[in-house]
Amino acid sequence: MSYNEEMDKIVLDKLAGYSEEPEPDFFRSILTERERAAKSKLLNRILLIAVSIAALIALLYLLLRNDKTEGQSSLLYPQPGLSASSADQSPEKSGFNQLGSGQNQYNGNVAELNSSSLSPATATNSHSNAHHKTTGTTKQTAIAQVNKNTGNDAIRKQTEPKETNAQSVNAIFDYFMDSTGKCTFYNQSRASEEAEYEWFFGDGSISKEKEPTHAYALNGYYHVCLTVTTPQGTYDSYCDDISIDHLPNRRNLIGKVSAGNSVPDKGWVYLISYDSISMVPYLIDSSKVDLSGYFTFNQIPAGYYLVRATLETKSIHYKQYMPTYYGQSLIWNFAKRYNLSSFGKGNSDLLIINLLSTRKSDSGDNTIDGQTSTRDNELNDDIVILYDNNGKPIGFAQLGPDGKFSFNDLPPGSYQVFNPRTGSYTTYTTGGTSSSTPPPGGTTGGTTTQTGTPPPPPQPEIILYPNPCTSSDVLTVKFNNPDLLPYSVTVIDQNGITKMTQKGNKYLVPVQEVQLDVSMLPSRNYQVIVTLGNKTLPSASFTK
Amino acid sequence: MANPVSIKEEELIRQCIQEDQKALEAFYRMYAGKMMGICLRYAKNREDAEDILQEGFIKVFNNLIKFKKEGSLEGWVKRIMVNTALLHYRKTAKFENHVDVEAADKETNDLDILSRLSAKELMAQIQTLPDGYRMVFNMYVLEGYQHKEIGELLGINEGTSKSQLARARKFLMDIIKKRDL
Repeated sequence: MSYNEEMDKIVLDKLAGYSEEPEPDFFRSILTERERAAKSKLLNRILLIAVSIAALIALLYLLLRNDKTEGQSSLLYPQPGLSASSADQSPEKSGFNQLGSGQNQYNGNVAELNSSSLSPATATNSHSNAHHKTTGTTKQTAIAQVNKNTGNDAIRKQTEPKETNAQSVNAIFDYFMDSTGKCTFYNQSRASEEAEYEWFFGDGSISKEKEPTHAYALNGYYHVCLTVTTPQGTYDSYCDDISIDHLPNRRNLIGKVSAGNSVPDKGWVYLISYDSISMVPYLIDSSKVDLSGYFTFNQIPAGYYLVRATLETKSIHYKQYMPTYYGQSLIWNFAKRYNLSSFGKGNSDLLIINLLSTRKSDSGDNTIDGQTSTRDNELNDDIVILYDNNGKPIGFAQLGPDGKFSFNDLPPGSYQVFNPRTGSYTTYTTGGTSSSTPPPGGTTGGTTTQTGTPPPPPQPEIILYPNPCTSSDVLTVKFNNPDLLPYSVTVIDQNGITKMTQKGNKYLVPVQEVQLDVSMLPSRNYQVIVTLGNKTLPSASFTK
Repeated sequence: MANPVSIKEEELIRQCIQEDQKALEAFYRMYAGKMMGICLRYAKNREDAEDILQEGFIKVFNNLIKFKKEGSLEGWVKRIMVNTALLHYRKTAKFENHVDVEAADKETNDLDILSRLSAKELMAQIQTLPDGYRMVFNMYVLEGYQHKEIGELLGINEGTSKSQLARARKFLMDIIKKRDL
């Protein structure tokens, strides 16, 4: 049995038959809540029936009036006096005495009636109970009593008491909406077996299934109605407003990869997203670059991504290829933060990726090329670190197979490249005023280089990798220890609580590498503090 | 299947449909403990579990008339409870298509720690799982759903379900190990 299977079995054995009694009076609360829910539903129904009856009485009145005023004047433009006189003849309540003044007025009055008579019901609804639960998905917003007949027949039928419909049918449904916009409707109507169902999903589509599923493509409000019809012709409708607001705006990301002189090349492009809380990168999709250099990612939710591209080893450009850097990542050959905005034009964004970065610009050379002589052939992840003028690490580059490295697209200025393996610094200058002295490394480009022992070295800060430390349980802490002092490495969390400490007074070397097992640390940001003798180095942080 | 619903059950259901209070209570007593156990597994805490249980029982009582005596009654009640629980956490659960989970150092020693836990302790640990992990873990390990079914029920793809499960396992083992330290 595999580890996972065994783990599942233990959990299953322990919890499959697990039983725990709820509070003693829990049954009471179920009954109360159930009663409350049924009552509020009933009230809503009664209310709607009342409103529709009132509306029909008004309509009847209007029709009667129409008969009387026929031949006298136009219904649309009644004289004020006429309106008053007809009110006297009317058996209706005074609230309706202005109904004769036209269709618009009539609508207004019903609306008023509707809202005023709604208030007592709303008050009842808000009555709550300790276990009152609002699911948010089954909100009852409207119940419509639909009558398909028109004309006088309809009026006669509706003015009769509701109870004459002997075949009682009760339409109701519940639904379950998943994250992709797919809704599963649970038909909970009370009706005989042979009843027929008709669903209107509110987006133009319908279904005759009993329990259909429907996928909504766009965010929005949908008025979903279910009509249940019995073979006897009795029917009932129930409607609910479904709000879909969680579907992301999706777009296509189309890109073109070029290498060197815009020659399309073989390669892969990866679309990486970050978990906004833990900053854990995860791969959304990958796409192989086609023969013309294009790649596509279809229907990607809008948002920020990291687009990473690599050349394939089969590429003709592979040997000339110089790695670029991004942020604190060591291994990404090309990486670019890209905002796939939901407000972009059309359905697609176009992204151009140049795998071989610009070597020359008008202002001079903006590239630092170099070669280390000390590459350890055993290790493939040797790196050099680029420091800016202030001694702040701004990037990393992976050493190529021949020990070469390259930093591209740098603003003009002075930089230092630190080789962690040797502990040596090299100063480079980029920008328009570059001299024509070729670098000792033999690579092309107009950088001024001074190789040698560290001039005033930027403070040898602590180097942590991998960072973020998510795919590895081991964090390597690298720091210079030129005086071979006993060291201690401490990891603290954001609250300053010490999580682990490792001390060393043996095997002291100028470039100290300390491995920490961070597998037990929760995913957070941490600080690493290194002390050498009595001296504390500026702390560094990493994300787990 | 012959007739998984026993005569006694059938009589109880009939009385429940007629809204007989005693029958409803008997029905409730029959399943309350077990269903609470299920709700607790899917819930973050006891309050949530009680909410789900209440909502679930209301659904059960309202829909007993629709119970087709084909499957077991308990299975039907359980399915309603699980669906209610899923509905409860659907909005808050995040399903991310993570890159493959790193292989955790799978030591049988860890399984010993796990098997030493009491059911109640294990339940408490499961409740600390993030919503998405907890749903998939419960559905796969305890309800025996396949990834395809989980995907369909939660509207995620099969791969996401698998990676959620792997993450959930690692997460659970990590907290249990840490607790044991």
